[in-house]
Amino acid sequence: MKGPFESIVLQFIVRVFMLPFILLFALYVLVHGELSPGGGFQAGAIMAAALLLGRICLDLQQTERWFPTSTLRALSVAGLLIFFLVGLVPVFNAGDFLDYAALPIPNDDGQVSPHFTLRSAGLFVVEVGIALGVMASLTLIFDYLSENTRDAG
Amino acid sequence: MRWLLWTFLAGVAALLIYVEGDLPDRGDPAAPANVHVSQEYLERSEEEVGIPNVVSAVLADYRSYDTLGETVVIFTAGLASFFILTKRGRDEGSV
Repeated sequence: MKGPFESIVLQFIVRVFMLPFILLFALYVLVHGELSPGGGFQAGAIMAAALLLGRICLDLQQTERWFPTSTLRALSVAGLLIFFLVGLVPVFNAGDFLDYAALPIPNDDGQVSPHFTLRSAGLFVVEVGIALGVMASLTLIFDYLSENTRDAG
Repeated sequence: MRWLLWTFLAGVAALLIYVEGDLPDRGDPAAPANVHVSQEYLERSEEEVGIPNVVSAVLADYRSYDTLGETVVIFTAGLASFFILTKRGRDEGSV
């Protein structure tokens, strides 16, 4: 990437209005995905859109400080591992692969709290993992395509 | 060659229009897609999984193995762009 756009109006609007709103909306889509349309994939894609907007419109040094390529590499693996481990743990607890009802969390007949069953708790953790993995992977693709790989090995 | 293309496309369009009449109506309760497990999901997902969003329940609970595969696909796309697009010093002898 050569550098940001010069326009101070664009940079101000993106930094002050658009990025916070997009990230907040992504968070809403993620945590509200069990009640309304939404979920991990959608939230991850929206987060990636916010990161790409920052990389395109803002000063590269600054956006790289938030989410450098090395961090994104780690996050993409971490997201996948969260999903896989949540699926694998029940296997060692007398359950099936991805059987959230067998997660070793203290529960009262499958009920973790008045609002969370054990299965919906596992489902939520999995959604967070999906969101992280999708967000990191999509942004990574952009980074590598744009030769933004100064710290890449 | 262009007439060949248009003839082929017209043939495909005629075929699609012909078979369209055999499709089930939208929302038909007797359609094959609605008589297998989807009825069970709609009736029991809130009680079994504990969330009101049936789509999320199907994607991340009943069919979570499929979703795990989709996440692997996205991850693989990132991994592939890493291996293909990362600059390496080929002149310096490293592969």
